Amino acid sequence: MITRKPLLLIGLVLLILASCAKAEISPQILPLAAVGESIEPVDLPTESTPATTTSDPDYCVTCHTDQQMLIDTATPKEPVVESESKGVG
Amino acid sequence: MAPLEPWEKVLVNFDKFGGTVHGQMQCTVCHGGVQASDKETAHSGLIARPSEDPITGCGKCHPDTTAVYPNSLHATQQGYWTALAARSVPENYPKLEVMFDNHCARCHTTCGDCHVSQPASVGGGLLNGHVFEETPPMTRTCTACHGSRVGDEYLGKHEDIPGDVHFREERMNCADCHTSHELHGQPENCDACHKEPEAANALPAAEHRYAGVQFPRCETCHASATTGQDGIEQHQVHGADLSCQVCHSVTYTSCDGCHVAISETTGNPYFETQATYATCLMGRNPLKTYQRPYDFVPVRHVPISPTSYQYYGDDLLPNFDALPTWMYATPHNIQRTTPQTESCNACHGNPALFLTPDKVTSGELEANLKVIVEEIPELIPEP
Repeated sequence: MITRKPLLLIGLVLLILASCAKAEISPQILPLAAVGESIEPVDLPTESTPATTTSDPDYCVTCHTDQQMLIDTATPKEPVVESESKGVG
Repeated sequence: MAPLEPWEKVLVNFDKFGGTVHGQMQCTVCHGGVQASDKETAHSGLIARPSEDPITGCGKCHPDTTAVYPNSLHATQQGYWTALAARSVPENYPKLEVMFDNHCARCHTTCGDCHVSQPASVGGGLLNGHVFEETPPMTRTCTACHGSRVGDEYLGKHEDIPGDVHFREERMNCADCHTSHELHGQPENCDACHKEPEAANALPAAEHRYAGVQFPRCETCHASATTGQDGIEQHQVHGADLSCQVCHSVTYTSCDGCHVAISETTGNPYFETQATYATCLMGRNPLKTYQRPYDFVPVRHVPISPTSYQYYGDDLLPNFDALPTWMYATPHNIQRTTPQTESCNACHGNPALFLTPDKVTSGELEANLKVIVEEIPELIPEP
């Protein structure tokens, strides 16, 4: 009597080998940006948008770097009194 | 230099100053005042000279220096009081204090007087657009105050007398010898004050410029002169008994009879010096110590007289003879070769070089007993 056992065993082995075979990957064609094509920037989400600040003017620097302003606002010069000292100090 | 216009004194060069460490701070941090567009409001509460209080201002970042600076001679002018106290008596101090405040105190200097502006006593004004100068420019700070003797001699401003060799040959600045430690009143013994600022603050104030360790000293650079390794016989013979200036100074300035008063017409203080003349005289060393072991030193006549402060009261210097009027000096007109270095007998047997009794006025003989040379070194027979 011919038994069916060897045939079943061979079939099982072939099935296992077939399942371990490397799957063939078909190449994918990715779209490329055309040369010269502009890419629009995308806003990225941020946790918070920084508040717009305007720095206060530094009045000290503004005035003390302006020669004409210093001349215009200078305290009137007191008349120079010639020293009455005589000889080497 | 010519006096600065008012606007020149306060014109800030922010292109330079803004990039420096100090330029990063708001002006009002040091100068007070308020941010306002009109001058009057902006200047309310203004502190024009923040370093008048060095501990609060500069001390935040420079505590080692500001802890000791209040005891420095630049801050205290203690040398004046050392001399006044020796020549006077405590009951005269109140009148002398008024005199001092009127005529002497304006030479007191703050940190900013050297590092930011010209000293107030010479008119003030920013040195370099408010940039802080680590080494102040010599002629606008150091010799602007120390000018009539040290400055003029060092820079060679006296006719026919060359400037100091250190300036002529090397263009050395005062700070090349006079270190920041000395100028700030910090002793050269670093451990004395760098342990902690509080300990440094407890250091005693300097009495006068020749107190304690001799610094600067020529030997720091010219070590071979004192160790006899430079091949110069005179250095081997006289290395310990003559100060270097005895042989290497040339003629320097002496003054007589300074008197001070307040002008009746303007109300301003003024002085009058009776005489100024050139000398080069060696006296006996009145400050002979371990640090200054010399037998002879140059002596310079200082302009004190018994009646210098008579405007403020009679006989304010009753102990006038307690100190010499020919004082130990370190002239700043050093030359490698001088008339003294020509030969042994340029000094030996040469009374013209020494402060002999005949060169001292009769009224000052008693005061100068410690420095007058009664017997000059004997002539050395020529080989």
